[in-house]
Amino acid sequence: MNMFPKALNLYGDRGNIITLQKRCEWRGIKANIVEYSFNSNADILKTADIILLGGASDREQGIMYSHLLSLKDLLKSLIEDGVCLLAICGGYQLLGEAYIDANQNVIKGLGVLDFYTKSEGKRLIGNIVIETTLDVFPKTVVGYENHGGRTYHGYQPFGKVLKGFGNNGKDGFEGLIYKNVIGTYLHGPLLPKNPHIADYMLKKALERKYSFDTLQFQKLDDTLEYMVHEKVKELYM
Amino acid sequence: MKNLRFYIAIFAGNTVRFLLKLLRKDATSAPGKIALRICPDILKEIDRRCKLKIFVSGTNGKTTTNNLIHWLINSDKVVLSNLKGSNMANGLVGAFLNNLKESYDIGCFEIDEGSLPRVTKHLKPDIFVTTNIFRDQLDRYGELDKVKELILGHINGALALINADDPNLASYNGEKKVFYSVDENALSRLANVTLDSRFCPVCNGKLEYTFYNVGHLGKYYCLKCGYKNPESRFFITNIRAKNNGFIFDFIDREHDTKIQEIRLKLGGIYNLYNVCAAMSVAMLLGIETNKIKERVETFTNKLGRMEEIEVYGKQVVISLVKNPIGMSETLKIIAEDPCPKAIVFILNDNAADGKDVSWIWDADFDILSEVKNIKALFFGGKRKEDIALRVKYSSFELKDFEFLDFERDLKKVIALEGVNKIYILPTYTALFKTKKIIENLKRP
Repeated sequence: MNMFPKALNLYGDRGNIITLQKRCEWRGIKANIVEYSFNSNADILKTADIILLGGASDREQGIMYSHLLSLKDLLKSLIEDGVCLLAICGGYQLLGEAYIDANQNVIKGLGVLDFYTKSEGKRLIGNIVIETTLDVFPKTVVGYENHGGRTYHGYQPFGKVLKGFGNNGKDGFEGLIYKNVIGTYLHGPLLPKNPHIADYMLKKALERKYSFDTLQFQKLDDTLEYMVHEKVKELYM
Repeated sequence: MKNLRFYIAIFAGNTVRFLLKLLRKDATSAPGKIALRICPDILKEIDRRCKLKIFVSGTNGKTTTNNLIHWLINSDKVVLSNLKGSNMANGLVGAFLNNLKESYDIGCFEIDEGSLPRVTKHLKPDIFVTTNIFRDQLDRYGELDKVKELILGHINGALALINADDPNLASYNGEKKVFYSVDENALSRLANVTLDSRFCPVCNGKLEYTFYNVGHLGKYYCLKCGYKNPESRFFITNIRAKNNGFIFDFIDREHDTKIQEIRLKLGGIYNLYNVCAAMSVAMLLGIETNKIKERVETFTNKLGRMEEIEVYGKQVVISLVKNPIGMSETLKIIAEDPCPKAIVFILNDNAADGKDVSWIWDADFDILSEVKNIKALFFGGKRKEDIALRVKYSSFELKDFEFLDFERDLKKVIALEGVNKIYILPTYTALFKTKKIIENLKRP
């Protein structure tokens, strides 16, 4: 299976790609990591099973935005076709129609999904715990958020905020689920301490590619992973 | 401003310092805080008493560079400096209380990037040394570009000493500037996983590299606009690694001066940058080259990175780690040491450590699999599980390890059979506690 980490890596986003890679390796699943960059041929994206779209600083994000706009139609058709996409922070905002910055400038997004993000007031920063709407166990997802933008949408959220700010600090929801897309502000290494979310993505990708019966999906020893998961809840909930 | 308030502030600060020392508590910040509260103008007074002021700022290497500069000039001048790494306004005032004089030839201060706006209101630097800009505690400072603005925006017409190998700093467009750099050497790398800086600061094109020395410090060029390393006046070249240190030559291009075969006792390429910056300052101040050479060769690091202390007949090495590049570089140094060892990682997430521990995923823990002779591995601190998990997902096979309450158990770790060296890698708030514990163990 192919995964595409992107040139966007702000807060330890590498943690997600490493986690997916290791959890495949431990199960004897061969995973090809393909680094998609500026000079890659867009067609190679069609072979992707899982795409990771990380966050970046404002400047790098601007550069990426302009580049990714040329891939708009392709990404849209892949998403409709059920490709697994984890879009974090800036990557999440990018999926929407637009980002409106502090000076009311409208920065066009990919417009793959119908929502927008606005820069309002101070940044929302801190540890966050949500109760996810996905059919996974445990129900909690833990992470760290740090974003200035507030996102408003009518799609299924990734979860309900138990502690922290979430999409906009107002409506009590975090992230977005659309087909096999997860959009979220839980930045950087989200998957290492939420192995159930990592496995959810791997299952979805395997089902799509091989009509794989995920009942055969091997369980791993996740004692340490859930120790980290529980520690965040214990310290910050 | 010789007023009563100033003297009361000095008296109060020193009283607090005396009491803390008596109680064997860390006195690097509280005395200055008290004095500043009583007399907010105290920084102005420091400015008035120093004939020439040198600032050192940047993400990594501030403390080492500042200590090096002090070491190179201290025998010839009366110097005021905050050598203990306490680098916010409180720390500067604390250093002043510690070493009170009517006037100083030179004030040499390391300044925390986030404190530059406050400090430069009162203290005006004449020479401003920039080390590098890496990702560090983003939740405190915001992004790389913001840190760049913080640093370059507060040079305020001082003579800027700029690291030419850092593409973000080298784009500084002020009038008065001098560049320094470190040549390619055996430890330079052609590829790099932890990159903070991929884009050209001038045109946003992609930066290509011919080699990397530390993280994104190296020889870069932009295919789009031609931006590349500016030519350095000062640089270190002909570098050979030698028993945990280096032998190298230092060149001042403008004066056609070469100091040859300098032997440095510090390992890690990042230290070559620190040494290059400090030697450049000494040259600018006109210290004789033979003195500079001799002093660089006798310098040993007392603080921050890789401090060695002997306890129970064993070597304890404490190295502060606070960001991905520091962690990776420290692991590289440990990988060069073959002796039987224990490694203790201590990860906290208090405000001074950075509340977000995501950064550990950007550090290159695969280096651990190259370390020989690890007899024991421990994880401590508030977020000990996070760092253990990071190691589990590296190429190092995590089998035998223990979690520890480091304030209670460090003693046992040092007493372990068959271990000659103990590497302790704490984050900032665990550093002082660790040092205190080790100091207390040394006392008979």
